[in-house]
Amino acid sequence: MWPWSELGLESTDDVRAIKKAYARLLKQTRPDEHPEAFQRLHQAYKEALASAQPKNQHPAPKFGEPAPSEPIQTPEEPSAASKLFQPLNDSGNTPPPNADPFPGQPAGQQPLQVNEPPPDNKPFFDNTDNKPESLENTKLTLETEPPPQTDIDPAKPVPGEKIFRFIRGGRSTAAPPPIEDTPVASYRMRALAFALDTIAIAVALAIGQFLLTAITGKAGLPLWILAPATYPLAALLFEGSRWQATPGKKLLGLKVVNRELMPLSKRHSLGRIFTFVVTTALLWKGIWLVNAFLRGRLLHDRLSKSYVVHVSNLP
Amino acid sequence: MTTIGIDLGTTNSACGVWTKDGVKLIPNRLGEILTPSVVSLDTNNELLVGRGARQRLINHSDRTVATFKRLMGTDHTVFLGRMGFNATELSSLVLRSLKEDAEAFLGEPVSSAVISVPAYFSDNQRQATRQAAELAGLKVERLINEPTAAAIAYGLHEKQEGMFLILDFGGGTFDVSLLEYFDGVMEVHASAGDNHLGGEDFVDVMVADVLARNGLSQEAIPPLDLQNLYLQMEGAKRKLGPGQTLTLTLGKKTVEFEVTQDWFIEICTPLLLRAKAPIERTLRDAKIPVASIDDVILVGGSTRLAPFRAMVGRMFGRLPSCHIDPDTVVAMGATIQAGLVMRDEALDDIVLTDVCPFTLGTAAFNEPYVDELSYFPIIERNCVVPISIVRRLYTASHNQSVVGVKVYQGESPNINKNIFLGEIKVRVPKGPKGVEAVDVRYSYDANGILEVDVTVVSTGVNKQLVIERAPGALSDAEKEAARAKLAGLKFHPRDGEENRMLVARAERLYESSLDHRREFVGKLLDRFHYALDRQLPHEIEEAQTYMKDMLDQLESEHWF
Repeated sequence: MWPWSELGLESTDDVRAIKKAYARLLKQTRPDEHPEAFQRLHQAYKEALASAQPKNQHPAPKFGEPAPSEPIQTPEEPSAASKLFQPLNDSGNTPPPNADPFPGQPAGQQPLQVNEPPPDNKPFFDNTDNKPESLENTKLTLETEPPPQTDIDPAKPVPGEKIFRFIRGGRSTAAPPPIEDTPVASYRMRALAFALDTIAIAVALAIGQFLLTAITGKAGLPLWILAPATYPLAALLFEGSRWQATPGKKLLGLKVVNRELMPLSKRHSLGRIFTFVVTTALLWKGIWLVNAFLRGRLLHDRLSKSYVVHVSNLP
Repeated sequence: MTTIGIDLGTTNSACGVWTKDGVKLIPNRLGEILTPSVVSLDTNNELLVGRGARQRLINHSDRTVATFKRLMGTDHTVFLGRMGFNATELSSLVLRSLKEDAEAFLGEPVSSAVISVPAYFSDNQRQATRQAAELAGLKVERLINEPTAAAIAYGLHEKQEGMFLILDFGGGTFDVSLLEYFDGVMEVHASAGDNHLGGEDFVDVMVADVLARNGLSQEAIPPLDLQNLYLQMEGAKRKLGPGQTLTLTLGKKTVEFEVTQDWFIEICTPLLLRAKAPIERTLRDAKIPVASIDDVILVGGSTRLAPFRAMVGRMFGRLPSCHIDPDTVVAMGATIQAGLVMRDEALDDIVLTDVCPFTLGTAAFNEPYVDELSYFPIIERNCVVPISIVRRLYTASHNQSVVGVKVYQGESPNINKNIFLGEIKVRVPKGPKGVEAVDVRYSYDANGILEVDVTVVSTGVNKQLVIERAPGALSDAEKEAARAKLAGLKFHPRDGEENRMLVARAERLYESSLDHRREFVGKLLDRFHYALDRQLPHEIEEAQTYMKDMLDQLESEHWF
């Protein structure tokens, strides 16, 4: 008779004998080598121990009999609920005596159907069988657990800022993936920054030429036309600097950063300008159109894996 | 092929190997058993791990990091100089250092290990530990729970049978396990814990209180002073007794501060109270009366705290025992487990059964309340592992075409308060609600790693959980990149390490001293550098010994 057959014992109250038998069998069914057989053995062992110490045990409803109608008042042994769903005997032997998951239910409505072959001999259980009562009962067994004490619940994830405080050393700790949560600057802002920069460069060039003309007395071609072409040079100079932005971007409060929201390295900055020149050269006629539909992640931003964000969005 | 046992701790790590004569703990390159879990990167991008790195925590705090185990399983990056590392990578550096020490000690390559983790480590954190080992070139034979490891060490060392309550209070985590040892069976009845409660929290609280009393914030004082304050508080915590007066430099002010036991108890009571919850939960879950516990065993450095001992003593009405060194007992247990995994004959008759310390479940609509997802536990906490459980879930709306199975860990009925581990989505044929079903199988193995697979009942389509962006988890490409990045970092040459440590120690002493004492340390340093420059091995050795002796004498404050 189960669980004694599993342990190779006659029904007994001798705890010592049960433990001995379990220990002997366990050495042949090591948990890591025979997980399913071990689960069965362990279940039988717990069951045997429980019946050997009747004072600790709830009267287990016999299989097939209507169980007491009141919901479980005191939690049974905590793993009891989970043990119910452990593999049954795959040879079709008598299931464990407490295989009734919903003691509050009349037998006829039980969602557990032992006779139906479970999928590939795995335990079978359904939980949302359009039977609200059964679900409520599931809830009840849950509620008999001690209520979680929210302020000291160890399972509660600790918010990021709190973790920072725990750490000692290191220059700074940043929480990636930051860029995913950080909105990039809009295309309009970028275009405005570009326009401002180009005007600024044009003005600078014009003033330079004016001074040059005043000194040498010779007038050449108007240099300010070259402003757009000079832009990449200026960008390289300014974006690689502490500003992390061209003057136009700086004015609008924008900054160029990498994935970790850190300043670009010199090499990265060079790469960014290079991709800017290449994409601009290749798509010169349509460039404004293409970039306008990229939600602030312009072609050269994407290619060089850099981001332009507003300072207020930076940590 | 040798398997070593590793205790990867928040503050200190240690490793050992199982030999014919039992456990042999492996000393590191400095001849010490405990290697501080501190990583430092010097300006040549050379790595320092252990005591040498720890010495640099003060003077080079921007390139040194400690207590990173607390970030395991998260995505946070710590910058050492210009290089960013996540906790997995930092842990792998410590593991690599331990591995190299073990290889040097054993004289043969070490390819696999049993690593201990806090019992209450979540699935994410365990995966991260696994990946750290992988990055360090170690195959993880088994992840063992720290209290279980401690119990093995006690059970096998003392050959004592009975029921034990293990309290593992380390630098960053607190774990409680109730175990029974009989006839060669080590059975864990229940485990609980707090992943963010440890010795470092006490120091944090002390530092915060000192700063608050002086009307300062952490940002207001220079990092150097802050690190110094941490070390002084750490030292004060260790020497907690009738009262000690410390001179603290806090930026521009210098204050005298008296550390008394009463002050400590006053500010640390909330933390101590937090430690009570897991103890109570373990006892409640195991349904074992307090009277039948044969022994309460203390593990981990923080259990040395007198107030903690007093609290445990009061709770159980007896003196807890700790006759094995609480700092190394976990490493010993992990080593024994390594021996078990290799099936050493001496250990053949021991079997260990462990439990899953937390509930694992999914989210489901609980009819008739279909407007809110509620928690649906699948593997209940403290059931014996390995375990595999299937539950069937049905579609919740008409013509539903996709079923998403979210995997959660935790005890709260509110899914948002539980830890989200991942999600599997499977396509199901359309139909009226409640007709199509999926079988959700949760398998929890002895390493504490969860596998979830979902099978659509009608089509037989099967999908296993691939956690898309679990915090701290690395994809294959990222793993390659991390490996390449870490491979580029070289440890200091073995012989150089000790010298650097001495220099760092002397530099620290130089900074903290004044007048002739400072002058003397300066001279010591000059002399040592001179010996190093001459590069004559015997002279260097002589200088080392001399330097060590002098520094030991000078360091009356035992901060380390």
